[in-house]
Amino acid sequence: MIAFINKLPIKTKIILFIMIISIISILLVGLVVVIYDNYRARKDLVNDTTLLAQIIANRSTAALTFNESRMARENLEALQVKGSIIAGWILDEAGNVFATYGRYHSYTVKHLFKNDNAGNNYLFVENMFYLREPVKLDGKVIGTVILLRHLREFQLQQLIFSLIVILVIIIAVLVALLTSSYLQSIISGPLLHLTEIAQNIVRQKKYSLRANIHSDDEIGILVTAFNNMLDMIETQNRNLEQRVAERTAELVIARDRAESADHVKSAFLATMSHELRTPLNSIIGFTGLVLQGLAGPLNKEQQKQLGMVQSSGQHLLTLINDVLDISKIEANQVEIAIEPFDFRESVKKIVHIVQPLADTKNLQLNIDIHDGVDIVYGDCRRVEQILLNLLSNAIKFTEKGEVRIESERNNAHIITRVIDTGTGIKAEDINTLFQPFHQLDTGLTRQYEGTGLGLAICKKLVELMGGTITVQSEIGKGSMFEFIILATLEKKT
Amino acid sequence: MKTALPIIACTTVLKHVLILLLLLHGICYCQDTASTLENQVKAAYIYNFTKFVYWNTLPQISVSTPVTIAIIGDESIGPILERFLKARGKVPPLLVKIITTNDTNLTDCHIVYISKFATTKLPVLLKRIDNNSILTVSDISGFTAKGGMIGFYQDKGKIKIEINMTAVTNAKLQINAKLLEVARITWSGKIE
Repeated sequence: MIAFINKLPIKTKIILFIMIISIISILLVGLVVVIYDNYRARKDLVNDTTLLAQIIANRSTAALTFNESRMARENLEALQVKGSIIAGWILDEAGNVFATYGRYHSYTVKHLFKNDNAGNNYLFVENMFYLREPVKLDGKVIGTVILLRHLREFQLQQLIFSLIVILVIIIAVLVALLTSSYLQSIISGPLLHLTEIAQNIVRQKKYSLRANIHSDDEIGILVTAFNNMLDMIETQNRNLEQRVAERTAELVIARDRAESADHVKSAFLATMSHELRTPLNSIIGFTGLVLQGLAGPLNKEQQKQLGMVQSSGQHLLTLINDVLDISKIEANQVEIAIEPFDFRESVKKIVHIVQPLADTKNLQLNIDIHDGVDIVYGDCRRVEQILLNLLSNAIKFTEKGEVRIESERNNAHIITRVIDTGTGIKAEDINTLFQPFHQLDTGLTRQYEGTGLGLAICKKLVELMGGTITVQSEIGKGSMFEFIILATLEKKT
Repeated sequence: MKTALPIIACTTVLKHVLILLLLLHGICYCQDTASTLENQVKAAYIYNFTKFVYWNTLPQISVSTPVTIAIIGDESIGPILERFLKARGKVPPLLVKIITTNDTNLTDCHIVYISKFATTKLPVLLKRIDNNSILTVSDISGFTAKGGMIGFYQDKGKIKIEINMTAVTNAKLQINAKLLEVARITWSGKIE
């Protein structure tokens, strides 16, 4: 019951409570009125009938005394004026019927009040009302008048009165309903207004809205508290916004500064790489000329030392190229040129380049290119750079066994794997493998020369081409690098 | 069954005899009681007149002033009246005087009853009472015509009342209308 009431809106609750109280009160009053009226009406009935009986009794003293039943009968016939009295009797001192009025059987009359010693002078029997009145002469009972009254009229009056009371109750309940429906708005109105404002604030995020105050009661206090709370929220929001704006401005400045610094750095690196390469190319070029004997014959020792100069120069060039690449990538200056090329040919070309390296280490170099891997659209130069990097790495870190390159097509993707039987990579190093300036195991640095930029460049390039590069490796058994690139079959515009 | 028949016949005869005896006894008893019953009714009526008649000259009947009734000519009425009153209780006290025709002191009586056995003395008695406020009652036939006030007469075996309003008025007595209603009213004689 309470759970049900709790679910109702406050408006309904107020009406419900008022109605419950009103109905209880109205019904109680109605009940009391009906009961009292019934009691009073019965009393009136008894009094009224008693009066008649008393008149008849008084009129009949001589008739009874001098045994003149004709006179008694005449007295009884006066009852004709009262239609509801359908019969009457006068009994003598001994209880025998002395005179009769009406055609009602007098059979039971003698015994009617016999068992009633309590002195009750009237009886309600079904629809009938019996009343007896002693006929007294000088204080001595000389007979009895008994009147029989039909209760139809009485009951009809009672019914009419009850109907009127019911009608009044219905009207009163309706009036209570209307009044409570109107009055409830005094309490629920401000609450509904407050709820609406709260919902609007939540929906529109407008903290500038305020609820109106209608009353000075608890609801008024609630509304005031609500408005104060909104003031606080608004103030806090304003402060917060201000602070955020300040912080954002600071961050923008910091970011701009950092970005410009980055650009400056990249530009510097690119310029520097270019500037470094120019004299280096002269060194390598002229060393080559000397080695070819164009400047006169060289002895063995001179040839050997010049060869070392050339080799160091080449290495330095590689380093500078890598630094140039990575700085270009990080400065977002690399552009991918999409054009058709033969993937198979590119692989063969790179294998051809690294073949001498494999040969010097007595390594097998196997190629397995599946059907369907031929002309694709992509950046040929970058793909070749990746292939070269992965293959030279594989050969570099493999002492015996084989290096293998596989390539296959999967829809729009070319999947290429470079598998070796080399030293392998530790699990904890795999995560940092593709980060720039990171060469595995500083202990090995001396053994395997390199910039440590190769894989980082590969990863960046693969990603620029919309692909991924992954590695699987086991210490002592070898590694497998797999890169997938998007190689569209048709030229994109 | 055959042996039982004479016994039944015998008892039937006996029953008839018994009924006959009872009836005979009843008739004798009835004749005897009829006059007694008549006297009882008369006695009761006489007493009850006190409740419907107002004496203007004498003190009104109350607990302290006894009703005085003079009985003339029938000595049986007196005891019946006394018995009747005893049965009814004391109120109001009643003084019954049994007087003879020679008695002259009738003035302090409320009611004088003259039995039919004193018919011959009637004119003398009435003259003696004259216009004193004394209610005269009698069962002499034609009593009211002779100047009496209330007379008993028989109608269909019932004792009825006849009132001579002239005599009552002359005696300055008042009679309750209810008593008049149940009585036969006559006007004989001259209103003084």
